Amino acid sequence: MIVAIAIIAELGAFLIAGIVVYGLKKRYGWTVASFFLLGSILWTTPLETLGISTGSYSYSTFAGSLFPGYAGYLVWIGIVPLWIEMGWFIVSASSFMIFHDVLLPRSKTLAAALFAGLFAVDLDLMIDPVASSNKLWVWLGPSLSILGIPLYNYVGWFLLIFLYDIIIWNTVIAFRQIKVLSFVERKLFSMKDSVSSVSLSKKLTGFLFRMFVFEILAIFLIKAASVVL
Amino acid sequence: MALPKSAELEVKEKADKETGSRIVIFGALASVILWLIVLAEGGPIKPFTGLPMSFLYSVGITLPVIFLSVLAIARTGREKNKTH
Repeated sequence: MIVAIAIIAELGAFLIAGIVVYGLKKRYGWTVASFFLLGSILWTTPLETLGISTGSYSYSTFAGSLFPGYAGYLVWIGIVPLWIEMGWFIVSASSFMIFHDVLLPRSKTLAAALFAGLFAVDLDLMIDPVASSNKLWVWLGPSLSILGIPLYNYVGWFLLIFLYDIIIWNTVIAFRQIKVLSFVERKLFSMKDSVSSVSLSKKLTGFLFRMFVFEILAIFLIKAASVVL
Repeated sequence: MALPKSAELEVKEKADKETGSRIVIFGALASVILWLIVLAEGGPIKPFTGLPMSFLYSVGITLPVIFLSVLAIARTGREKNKTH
């Protein structure tokens, strides 16, 4: 019976992710929807892999419970269940649309990204207690916690959604300069000061470069939070 | 009166954008909440008998955000219709 919950969680996440992809496609078209979806997988895999391999949490409670060799979930990216990454995608895309498109369309990028990050933390206050009490993932090791969920987890949610929001808005929706990276990007990719329309290959290069830089920053800050908290 | 082709396309694109936002904000987030309640009911947390406070706080913030967003989209749609 308990493994049924894992299957419902996994298939449910895929189904909801499908709804989000369809909505993104209607709002922005296939290119943005594809960047958003595939980018979410690339964005979350390194951090999730690091969390699992350093023993912060585990996704293998249901391993072997359905059939011999069953790893706990059906689809994996390395050692991370794909549905976990779909969860990040659902939250980031929903938060992105709510604040950039609907509630704060005239605000500055940073303000919308900040609210998106906070809204993601709010959503995780629902998701994490339900998931961990059902053993969909298990937190390991001592840490300052709220309802059994380490505080640095919420720091991680905020940072990952906040930074990804900035990357998507400034790279995928339209190619805009990010001040802290502009010097390096001008040298590396010979970008001009004002870039609103760039080729798909340049957009992809910029997207990967920005994700790489911000991923390192996120890992550093979340690691620091886990040590302090 | 039939609209010129380009104007017709423009109206369709705007409608598509609004539909896309509604699908993500209402469809996906409402599904997430329902999906979590199903999971919680099947496990040790029973939403209708022993809901953790964090869940209540979170739903209390999330639902107004969803409804404000859908209202904002509907209002924008009505304003656009008035101008056409």
